[in-house]
Amino acid sequence: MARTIFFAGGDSYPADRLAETRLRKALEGPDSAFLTHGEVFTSGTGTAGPGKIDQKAKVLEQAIRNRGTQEIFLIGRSAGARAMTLAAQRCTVTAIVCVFYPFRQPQRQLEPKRFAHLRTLATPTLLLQGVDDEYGGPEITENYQLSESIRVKLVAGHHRTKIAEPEGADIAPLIVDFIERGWRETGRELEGFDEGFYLGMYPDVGEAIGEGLYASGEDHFRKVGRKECRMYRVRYEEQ
Amino acid sequence: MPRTIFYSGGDSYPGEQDWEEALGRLLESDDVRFVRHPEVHRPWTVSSPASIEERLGMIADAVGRVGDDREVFLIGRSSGARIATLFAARNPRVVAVACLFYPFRMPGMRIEPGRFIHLAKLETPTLILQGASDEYGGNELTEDYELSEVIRLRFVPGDHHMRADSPAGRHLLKLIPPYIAGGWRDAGQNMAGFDEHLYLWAYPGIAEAVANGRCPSGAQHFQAAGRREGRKYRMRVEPV
Repeated sequence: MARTIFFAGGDSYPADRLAETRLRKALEGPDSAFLTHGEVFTSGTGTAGPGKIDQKAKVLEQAIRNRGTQEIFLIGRSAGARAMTLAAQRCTVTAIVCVFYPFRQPQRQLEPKRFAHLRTLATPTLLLQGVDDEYGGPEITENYQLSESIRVKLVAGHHRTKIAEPEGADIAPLIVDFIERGWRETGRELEGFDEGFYLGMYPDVGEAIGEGLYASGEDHFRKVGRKECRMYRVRYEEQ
Repeated sequence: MPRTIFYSGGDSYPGEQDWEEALGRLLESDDVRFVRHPEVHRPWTVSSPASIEERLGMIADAVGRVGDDREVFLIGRSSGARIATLFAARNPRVVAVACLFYPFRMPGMRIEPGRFIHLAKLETPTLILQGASDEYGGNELTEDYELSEVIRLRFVPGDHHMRADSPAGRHLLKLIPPYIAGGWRDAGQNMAGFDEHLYLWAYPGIAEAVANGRCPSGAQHFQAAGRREGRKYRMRVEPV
């Protein structure tokens, strides 16, 4: 089936224009269209600049519907990632890659509208989060409820790291791999699950495993822990 | 006008009856009917308390039976406080709410927005009395949760399971009768315990504006703009 890939930058766009060009080169083909940030959020609509998440999501939703029956992939960074996860709840999307999702603005109170919808997101999603991201680092899995279609992977970087710069070198290959094949592999959303953290945090889980009720901490999390809002961690492996 | 006050306990009820009894003694009078938890709620156990929807239904039934000639107030402890504020948000009959030990976040668990999201838009005057080291939300809670300007917040030393007959518990109990008797009307006094130092330390730009006189104080900045901007602040813990 033909596919279309959308890219949406964050409020810092065009900071990621070089990465966008490289991703286009890697993913575009005869049956594979690639729409850039500028092509989706055309000037004059007022959606190219910072803010206006809901408006961005609407523009994106319309652009997705215009593609008809195709596989739709979304790559979004920061505010762009937020708009994409919102749009995916209103139309059919094959898979999403979020880079540096903005869970919480530094030095501000929680804003549930930034993350509440991720609890029920049904679209296969790869969340690439920087270990030093001030909008949400390795602790995101201890704070926010993420649906079982969301795979979290920690990468080097902070919120302003550009995907094309050396520090962000891990990011582009992970995006390409997820779009080409990774999104089909269900059950990998807990890749890198930190068993030691989970068992240390919840002694009752260790007891339940001892009684043979669960095979592991990960098994417990899958079966009941997620619903109970338990915290977990994914390991960060330096590349 | 005569008043009816409903008390709604937490999941551990009746394990916390000391608060209900103390409040009953303080509030009951000829004009004030204090309705205890069991009169409204069916019995439950700690491991399987009634659901939120079921509890809202039980309160709705009870409030619906109160005559129009009476003012309705709600007092809730822990999950009862969550129910009381949820109910007040959708029912204009409630004049004001007092909360003891509001459960913002379950210890050791992830954030559940359903516990607090309605507090950002709440329009019913509400008093939240909290232990500074409450495991469900201590005095750092104002750095995390958006609370509407009708919510007044007081902290005393103590945790989620503070006893009513402890010094801190007695201090909190003294705050409730005057609030219900009319204190709820002056919602503007809720900045009394505002931690000026912490606010200016967290936001150097505001500290500068205060230093050169462009802004009278951190507390005033917070009221004029900071609350809307979701800035972090703290209220001081009161000595007991």
